[in-house]
Amino acid sequence: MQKHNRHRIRNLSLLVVSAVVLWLLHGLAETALRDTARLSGWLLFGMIVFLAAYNVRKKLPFLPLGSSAAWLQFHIYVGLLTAVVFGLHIGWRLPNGGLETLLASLYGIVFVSGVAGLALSRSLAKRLTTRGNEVMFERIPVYRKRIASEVETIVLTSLDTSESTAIAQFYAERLRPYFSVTRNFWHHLLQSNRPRFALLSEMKAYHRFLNDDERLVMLDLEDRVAAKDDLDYQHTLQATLKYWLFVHIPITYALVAFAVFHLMLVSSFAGGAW
Amino acid sequence: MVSDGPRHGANFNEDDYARPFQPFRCGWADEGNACSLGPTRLGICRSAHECAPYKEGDTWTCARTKAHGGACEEGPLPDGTCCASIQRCQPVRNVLSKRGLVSLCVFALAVGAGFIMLASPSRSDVASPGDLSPQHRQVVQRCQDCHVAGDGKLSDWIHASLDGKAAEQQSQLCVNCHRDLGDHAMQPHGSSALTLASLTSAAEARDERASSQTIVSIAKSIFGSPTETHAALACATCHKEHHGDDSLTELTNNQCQTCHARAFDSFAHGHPEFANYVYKRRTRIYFDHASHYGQHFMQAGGETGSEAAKHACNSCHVPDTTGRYMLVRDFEQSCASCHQEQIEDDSLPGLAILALPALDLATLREKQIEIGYWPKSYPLHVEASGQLTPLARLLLSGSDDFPNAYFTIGKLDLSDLTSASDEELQAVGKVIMQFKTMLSEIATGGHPEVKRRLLTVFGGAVAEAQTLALANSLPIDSLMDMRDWLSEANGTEDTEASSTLPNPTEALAAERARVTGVASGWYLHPSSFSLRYRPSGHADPLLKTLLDIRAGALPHRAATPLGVAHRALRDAYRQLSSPFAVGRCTKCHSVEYFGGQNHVNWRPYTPPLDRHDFTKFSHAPHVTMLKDEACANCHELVSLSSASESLYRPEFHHSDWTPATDASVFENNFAPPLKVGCVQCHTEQTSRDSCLTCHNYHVR
Repeated sequence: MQKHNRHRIRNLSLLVVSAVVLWLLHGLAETALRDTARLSGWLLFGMIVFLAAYNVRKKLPFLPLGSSAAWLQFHIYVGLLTAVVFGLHIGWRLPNGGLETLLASLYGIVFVSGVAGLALSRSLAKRLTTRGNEVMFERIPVYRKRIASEVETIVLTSLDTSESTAIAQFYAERLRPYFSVTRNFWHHLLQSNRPRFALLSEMKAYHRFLNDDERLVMLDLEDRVAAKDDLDYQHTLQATLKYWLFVHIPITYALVAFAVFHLMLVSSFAGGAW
Repeated sequence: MVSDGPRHGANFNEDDYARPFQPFRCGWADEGNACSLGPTRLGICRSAHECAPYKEGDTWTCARTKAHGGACEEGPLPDGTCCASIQRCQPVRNVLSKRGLVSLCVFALAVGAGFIMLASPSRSDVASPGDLSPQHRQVVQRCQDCHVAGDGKLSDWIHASLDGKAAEQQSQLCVNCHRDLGDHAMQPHGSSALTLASLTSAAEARDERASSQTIVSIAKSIFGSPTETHAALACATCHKEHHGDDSLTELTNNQCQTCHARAFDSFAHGHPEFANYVYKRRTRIYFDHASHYGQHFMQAGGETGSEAAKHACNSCHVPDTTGRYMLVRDFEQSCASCHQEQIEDDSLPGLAILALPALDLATLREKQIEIGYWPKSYPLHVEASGQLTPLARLLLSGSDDFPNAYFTIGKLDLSDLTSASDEELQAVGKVIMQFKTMLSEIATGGHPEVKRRLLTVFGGAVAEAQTLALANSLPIDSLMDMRDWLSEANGTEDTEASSTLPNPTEALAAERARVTGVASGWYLHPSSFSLRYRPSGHADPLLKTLLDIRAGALPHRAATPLGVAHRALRDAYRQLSSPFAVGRCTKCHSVEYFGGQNHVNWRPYTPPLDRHDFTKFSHAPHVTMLKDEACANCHELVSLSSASESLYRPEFHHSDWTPATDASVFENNFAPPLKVGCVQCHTEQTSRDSCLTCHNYHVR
């Protein structure tokens, strides 16, 4: 852990130094009357292409291009550095041209989603180990289906052994909808157990209407509810870890596409500054 | 039969086969019943049966692998089909595949939207990187007004972006509108390479050490200087357009110094002294501040008056409409109170415009040179001359044979021809007869005849307006009187006292008394048989015309009409260009030589409104802010080496009082302004020490 922290401090220091150096170089280039927008623009474009290449790199694991972990570190810190280059490129003010505004918006979305993704991957990965078993995201529907089947079997069995339909009614009204799909996405994301405790409390309150056998069945169901809740928790966090990329990556490609248009425009309309 | 048990092996539920990196997964996966084969990469279900039976002899054998439960008990159907058919599924994309598909769609959408935007009629609005500056916003309507590629289609833009020449042509479009930038608009400072090289050499040769400018040095060492690598500078090097209301001309001090040979820290630290700034030539109007403060104002108003004058610069100087320059007030406001009388000084003899030259009639008669009647001049009359006046020669220069005769006479004194040769005497006779003819013709023909004679000589060498001004100024009535002087009815030659001429002594006294009262204008001076002129006041048109008609404009060829005219005008200029001549024009109006001839500076410096020098200074705000002490703060009066002379200043007059014509030779009344006076206010703290506060980039 200490080693990890040392690396993080080192990388952050490098990031700050790089940002300061870039800022100084930009100032010197301005002093030399260089076309700083062009210089910073090409640098920014190169950085964005490099960042976008990370996704390609993940799809080409057989190429000797360094470890994915190293790429991720570069991706994170170069990504953060783009904010400085972008600020220098636009002169630290909001653009008001049509295409420029679109580009800035796209960059903003990509950057913010990237930072958000970084924060999520840092926090959610830890939380995933705190509840339930670690399961593959693709298998979660299978397990949910299995639990739902088990619950249905338990309830049907209880009907054979008991004259009361209390459990069956409770199942029909409250549990079957609960087990049919993933529930309480936002509560799980925000680390709130209120729906889980509410349902479990409701089930415990039901105990006084049940006989001993039925109470055992209900306890069994409560275990299933907890298992399903843990599964939903896993699903929520894993889905979040996967679906933030549905914003980050597609918008990155859109950004690259519009950046190419932008490059074409500024090249053809350039005023000749050197 | 349709299998409804686990479809793929006995341990399927414990050993489900997930394919997170495959684009599709089995549609039954969420049910927990995914098939082992899974869909194709294109998302097609490929599981029709659990196995593909093979034939051994006449028997079909189950081919289900052990991993999937081994051979089934039922075995294949008689036709060789697997008995355990699988219900086909609708494969679903996994997360990665969905994300890839979304990415592809978004990218395609972006590319499509980009092409549509840039091909649409409103592409200018979309492509515009921002608002124009207020100055351009008023006049620029379309992209192509400023951009070479602006007129093209999307394909042209793509071509232009790859071509790389559009940028070079861009600045030319700027210059097409900004034509006032001169012939070297894209050179640094709009100056020629020669001028820049000279300025650079001068800067490098200066003794003073500029303080090192670290930032500029580092910037130049890393990024170079635009002038090092580019012969021409694009407008966009300094002017960043499409930034809305931001200044289009803002540059930092360091940016200015990137191109300069000597860099320094700030105006206060390192900026060179002004050297001889402002005082690069003598003034056009000769006004000696030292002698005026020390003598003339002292005489007029005593020490108090002189001291007061030192603080009343605005009595004679006033800011121009732009506030930049301090102009000299006009003559009536600043000079007339003292100098008007000098101009109209009637103690000076008027200028003899035309006069009957005094002739040695005895010699002419002895040599039998026939000249008809000619009155005898009063002997020893100070204003009588044995020469033709310059204007007489000018009017005669077009007459037949006059040039030859005139040059034969040379500088012969017509009042003493005793030593003249026969040829010269013949020439004198011819000249006198032509003079009489000229006078008669002008008296008869009036101004048109004068004009004809002048135009015959000048042709196009002298401006017609000046010719007409001179011709029309002559008083014909007086010329008729002069003609009458040559009439025999007025007396006979050698007659000591003709019927019309009084006793010489009495006549002289009467004449003096009469003409002294003549304040200005034309008058006849019978005792010297001359028509004279005294200026009507300041800016007298006749004297101005006579000084303005440049002798230098006419060729020097001798013995030709133009050669005679050249000498006549030259002599007229010499007569009038003395500070003691009638009108005293050149006492204050300096004369300078340029363009092959002398020019009288009738007016003080009049700055052109569109002037753009390297340095700019606005007097008005400084005068307003600093009030009474404003002028003296910068313009410190100094004692001149020639201050002991009350009038003579060698840069304006030579020792013989002929005008000095080299404007670059001068000694100034004032010491050059010092930077120390400026840095009190123009500091970094007041943000008024920018290069652009006092310097223009575009010089023209």
